[in-house]
Amino acid sequence: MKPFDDLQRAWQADADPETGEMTADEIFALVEERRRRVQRDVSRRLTRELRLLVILVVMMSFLLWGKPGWPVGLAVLVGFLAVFFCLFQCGHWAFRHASLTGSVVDSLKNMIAVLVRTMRVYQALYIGSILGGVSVALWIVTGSSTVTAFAWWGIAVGLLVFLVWSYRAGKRYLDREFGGYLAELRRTLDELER
Amino acid sequence: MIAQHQGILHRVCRAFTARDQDREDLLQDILYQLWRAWPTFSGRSKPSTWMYRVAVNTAITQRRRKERMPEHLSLTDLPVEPGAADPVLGRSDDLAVLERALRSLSPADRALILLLLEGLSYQEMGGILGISENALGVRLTRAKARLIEKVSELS
Repeated sequence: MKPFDDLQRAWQADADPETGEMTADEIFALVEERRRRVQRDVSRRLTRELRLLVILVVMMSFLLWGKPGWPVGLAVLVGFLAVFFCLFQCGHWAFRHASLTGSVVDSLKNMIAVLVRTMRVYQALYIGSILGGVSVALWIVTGSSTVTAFAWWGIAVGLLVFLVWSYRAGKRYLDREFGGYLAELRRTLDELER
Repeated sequence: MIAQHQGILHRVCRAFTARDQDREDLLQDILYQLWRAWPTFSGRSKPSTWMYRVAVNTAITQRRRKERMPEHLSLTDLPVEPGAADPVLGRSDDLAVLERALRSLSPADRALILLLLEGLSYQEMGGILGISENALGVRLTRAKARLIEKVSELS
């Protein structure tokens, strides 16, 4: 068995033969390249989400056109999508700009908090968009006809079941997307604090 | 300052990544984080300590994202035959085995061992990791035992 001191000597004796020394210009070029890549990623994401929202608004305008109170409905829809978009961007920004200058334990706690917050926002938006979609569909269907009280009960129960289903489906999706990463951060924090 | 202490960054990258491409990516990420965080550096700690903190934080929090991306294995991922020098980097057998053993540890153990290998004091390590010196002693003993066990397995 090799003593730790020998390993430490081997580690410290190595002078990074494969990397060599970088000049200040080379370092700045790397930083600049990464900065440009981050900006490109952010604008690509922004464009993709904006494009999706514009398509949704156009589609919904066609569906709502001519229904009773359609300008109000459309305004509510655009408002909802704007909030949706802003929250997405805020979550993304907070995640990307989480401070990494504190101690490792503090940074891990900070990252976990940001991730959990982002997951909650995603969950709320997921449920909100599904319920919003169902409400708009109901409005389109029932907007020009009379609905009995009994039918309203059925609709309310259906919405409740849908709410539970969308909550569980959203949770499953978020666990798949972020669960592994979150668990790893928690495990590392736990190991450091235990 | 970064140019002066760049060895720290290369060694953190080596401890946390196995592939050349990932290593370059992590180095770039750390440099970007240092550049972003530079205005907040108050000078209360040594520049090298501050760089360790940002570098280890970046390596730990960004590791998972990199691992999710499927990439080709590079020659540096090849296992090293006992008694042979690293085929690509020409490193000593000891160092090649140490790097592999280090990368097989959990991120927390890796950070602990890396700082110990770098020869930092308990006070500096505690400041970087955010744990008390007493607690640090216990965790280091456990992490060292795990590392030596891995080194023995790989040797």
